[in-house]
Amino acid sequence: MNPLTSLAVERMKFVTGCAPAALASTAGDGDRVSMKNFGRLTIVVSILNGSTVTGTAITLIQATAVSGGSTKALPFSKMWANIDTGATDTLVETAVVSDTFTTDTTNAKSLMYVIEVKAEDLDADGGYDCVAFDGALAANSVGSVLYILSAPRYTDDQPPAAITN
Amino acid sequence: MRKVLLTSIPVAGYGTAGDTVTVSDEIAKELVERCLGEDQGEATAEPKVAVEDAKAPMAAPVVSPAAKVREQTKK
Repeated sequence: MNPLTSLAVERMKFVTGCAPAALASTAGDGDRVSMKNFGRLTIVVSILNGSTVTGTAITLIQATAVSGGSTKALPFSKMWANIDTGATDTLVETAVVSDTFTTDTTNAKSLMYVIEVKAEDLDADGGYDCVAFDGALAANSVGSVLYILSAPRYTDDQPPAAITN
Repeated sequence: MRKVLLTSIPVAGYGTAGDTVTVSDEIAKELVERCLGEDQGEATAEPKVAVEDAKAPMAAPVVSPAAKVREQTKK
């Protein structure tokens, strides 16, 4: 497959992490995807703030299965942020401490956050090969999460499923 | 609590490069270990303003003897 002429859908797997909603409680619990067939996961978070916003507290979870199984925090140390997508498309590399961050709370702004996960970031020795986004505490905003799985381990017409073990 | 100068890139929830932030000892340690900031030492409390001094009435204006004479002359 020629990476210059092939389509993105032929090289990457696009999965809905969270459908549009206030990213809190169960609506903020992202779908789990398995990275056993992929080397990279890009998590794209889009948020539209209303007014009197409570930011979304974002963490990542690693798990041993796409449903059930054991879970624990997935450490990550940076993300890329654009806190005004109406004004710019520049993503600013931003450090994350304690494996969590809270989204911007400026009224009426459209936000984008991108988190990159490498398969080797997971505790593979412990059987953890799945990842999920977790958003909490959001109020007066609507957000959605898109997973883009890339660097498939095997070539095919389309990348293999990521929401099954 | 410690003061840390953020040196490299923005740190989510804390500030951007060039900012000096006051953070917990634990966060300060993480920032320094990850080369995100320079420890500027223990954060000391801001000096307290003496409330009594702030509320003290202003002293009466000093009127020179010549001014008193001029005031009496007007009358």
